[in-house]
Amino acid sequence: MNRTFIILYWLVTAAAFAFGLWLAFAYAPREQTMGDVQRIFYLHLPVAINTFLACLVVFIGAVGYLWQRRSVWDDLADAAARVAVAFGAVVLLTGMIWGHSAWGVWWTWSPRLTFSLALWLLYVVYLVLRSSIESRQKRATVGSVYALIAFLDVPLVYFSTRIIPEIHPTSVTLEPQMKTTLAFWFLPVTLLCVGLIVARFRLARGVPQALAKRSEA
Amino acid sequence: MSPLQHAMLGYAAAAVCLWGYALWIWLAGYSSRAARRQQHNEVKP
Repeated sequence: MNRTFIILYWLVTAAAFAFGLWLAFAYAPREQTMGDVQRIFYLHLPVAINTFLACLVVFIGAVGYLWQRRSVWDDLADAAARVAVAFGAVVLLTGMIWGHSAWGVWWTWSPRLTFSLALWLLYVVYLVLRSSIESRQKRATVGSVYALIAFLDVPLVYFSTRIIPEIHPTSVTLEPQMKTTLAFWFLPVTLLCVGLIVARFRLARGVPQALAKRSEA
Repeated sequence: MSPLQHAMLGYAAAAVCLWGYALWIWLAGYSSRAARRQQHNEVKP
């Protein structure tokens, strides 16, 4: 991949984050019920959606590997799972901080929160499971089957608030400036999510390729 | 802690987690490339 493009990509992502911060803290008005803590929402929702996106990439990688048995799919699933764990941790952290201010507690065992924690743990276990298997083929096969099952939790997280009534908000009424801010925040968060998956994937692919070239030499 | 401080803490935690992870990948890639370069130089004096 072109080095200039990579540098430009990360500069645009960083600039979008900086502009997003200005939007969230200066442009968007203060929410009347919850006050300033509602500003976490502009980060919390896009990160949550991108966690689902990363989980979907893991699922696609798992299906691809079980279908074609090519390591490229497994490396893609592994890279996306790592990003899903990082993004999932941010969803939990920002949710807890928001909850502490809005509800007065850091954590409550509501369906959405419980399924979100379960999702994060499922992908942590996926990475731990993979690291415990030495054989590359066995690791890819076991990991792929596990990833298919783990993905079942994604719709549970998404639909939990619609199925079971709970404390977590299902829909929020936003003013136009708030809508603009929220819509913009999807840009830096998605750029970061895609950039991290690609970077981790390239790192994983670089090592075996280098080993193969060395053995050929 | 005020609601604004809560919001700022949320953004700070996200920045540490996500940009920290990006930095970690970059460092891992950098050290991997450096190791490959060194091995290449050792093979071809």
